[in-house]
Amino acid sequence: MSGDTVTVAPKRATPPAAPKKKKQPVQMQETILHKRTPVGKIVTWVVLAIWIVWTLAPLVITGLASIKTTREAFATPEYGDWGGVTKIFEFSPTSVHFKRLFTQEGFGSYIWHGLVASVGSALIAVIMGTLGAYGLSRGKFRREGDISFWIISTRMAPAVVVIVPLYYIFRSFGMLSTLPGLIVAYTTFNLSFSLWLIKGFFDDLPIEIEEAAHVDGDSHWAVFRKVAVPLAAPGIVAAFVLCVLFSWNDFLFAAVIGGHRAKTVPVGITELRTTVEVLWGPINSATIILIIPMIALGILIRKYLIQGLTMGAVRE
Amino acid sequence: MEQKLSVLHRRKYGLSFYGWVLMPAVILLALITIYPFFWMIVKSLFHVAIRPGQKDEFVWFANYIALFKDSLFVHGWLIQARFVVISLAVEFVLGFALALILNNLKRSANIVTTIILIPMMIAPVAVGFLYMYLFNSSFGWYHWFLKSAGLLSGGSILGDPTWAMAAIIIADVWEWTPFMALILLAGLKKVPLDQLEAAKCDGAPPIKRFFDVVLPNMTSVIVIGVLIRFMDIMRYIDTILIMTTGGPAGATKTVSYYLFDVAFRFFDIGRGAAHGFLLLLVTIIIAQLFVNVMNKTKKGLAR
Repeated sequence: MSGDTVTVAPKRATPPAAPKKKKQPVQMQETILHKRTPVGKIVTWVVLAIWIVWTLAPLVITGLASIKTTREAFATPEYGDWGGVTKIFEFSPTSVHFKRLFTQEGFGSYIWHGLVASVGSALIAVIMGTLGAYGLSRGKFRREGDISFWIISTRMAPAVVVIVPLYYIFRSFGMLSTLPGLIVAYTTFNLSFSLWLIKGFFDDLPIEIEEAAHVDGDSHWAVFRKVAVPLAAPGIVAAFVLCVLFSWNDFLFAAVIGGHRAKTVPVGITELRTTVEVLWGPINSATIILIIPMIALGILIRKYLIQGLTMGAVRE
Repeated sequence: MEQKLSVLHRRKYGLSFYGWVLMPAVILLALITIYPFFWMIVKSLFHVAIRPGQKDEFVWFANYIALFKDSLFVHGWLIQARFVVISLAVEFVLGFALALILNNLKRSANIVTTIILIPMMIAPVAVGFLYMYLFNSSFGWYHWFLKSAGLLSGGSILGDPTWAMAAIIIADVWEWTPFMALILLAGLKKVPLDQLEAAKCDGAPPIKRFFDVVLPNMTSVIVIGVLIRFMDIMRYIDTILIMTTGGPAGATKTVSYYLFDVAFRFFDIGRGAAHGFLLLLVTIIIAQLFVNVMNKTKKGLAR
């Protein structure tokens, strides 16, 4: 300990001096398997067009139904009357379903609950996850493999399995039906996820930069805060956004743990399907409210989406 | 190696800085996962009292034995297996085709992928309602389409055991094929071009090149994609809960979904715990497999 000799031992097997692999050039004259031909191009675009229609059709149909009157939304043509498809677009827009959600069904507070629970849990997960990821990435621990496996395995447990014990444990602590309870419940899957994802980003940083800062006399904490975190920022942001997305979209935890007083939007939607009737107008507009913000968030972190959803196993 | 600890690894109070920053996450994670885990194992050996005042009764493995005598539980695994296998097969084949096509695009690649990946962001509950609406037997547009095309003979999609399962699978395929496609696309981009060139010079036809060069280079990516999808299908029951609630006549009651019934409809906690533990065991085994593959990936192929 006494002789503070600065041994700058390269930590990772790959020489960090090597520049990052650039993307392979895309301007090949041929594709992977066959030559580019006009016919191939047409086939490509026909298949893509079909896929895009298949992707967007449910959203367009539901989106339009959310601003139709019930009568218009239920109007399908006779079977086999293919020309009748245009009926989808015959309507006069109304906002009555959206208004109902906020005036009669209490969706204002459901949105608020969803926001608080998802942002709160994402914050906890990302703050603790960033710290933990840095520790796990840079530190040397005995049984490091076991720690890693334990962390990742908590994320893979089926949601129903986690909920059963949590429900009864939370009940004895009086945490059912509260927002803090819901935040803790979401943290069960967000924390391990964000830790693992952010660790991948720290692993990719060349350790020399941090070592140089150490040599300049910065403390561990200063290096972490001023060097490592800014460099891993994209990963941290991606982890935060994905945590918000998972929690906002969750139904099971919200239904079981959130109970009556911490209802979120997904729970609110299912209550529009009563034993007496299914309120399709409000359901369709609530679906739109539920999905639009998440689509926007997903596109925002488009670049890291696959890396995020595979917890760093696959990069684009 | 131990002596060569750099300045980065000096210890304070027996724990390095890295140990200290890892600690909060580990403690919190232990609290919210390990405690429930042991709670579940213990409760699975009890007949748990529901009313206050009653006491739990230790019953050894009675809960587990009861599970295997329950035909809904045994069938649940079969239904789950069918759901998993068909969904994965369809998503894999369509995803691969889509990936090959996306790989050919140049300028339009960005906008096309952005459109295609939209379903992945949508809450499973919302997907359930989208398809419940589309498949509705009196005003659903997909129901109308299938009827008009002469593909559907019966009256109702979600009311027919075979079609109901198909509907659940269709919703899953809609939401997650893009995920498979993007993973496989990432794999395709890493297929070494020189190997392809070499195969081409040898005069190998496209199909042979696909099986000899492209596929072997993508093994790890394929395994990762398939495993993640597998675990997610085990994890989520939302679409089933919305679209069919396990029906009609239990045709879509997967083992994951059935646990929800046991624990939160019948409130049989001991049995729910046993059920959950078995489900978890299967998932953990798969998770171990996933980590092994991932470690191999990190060392070799995909980077």
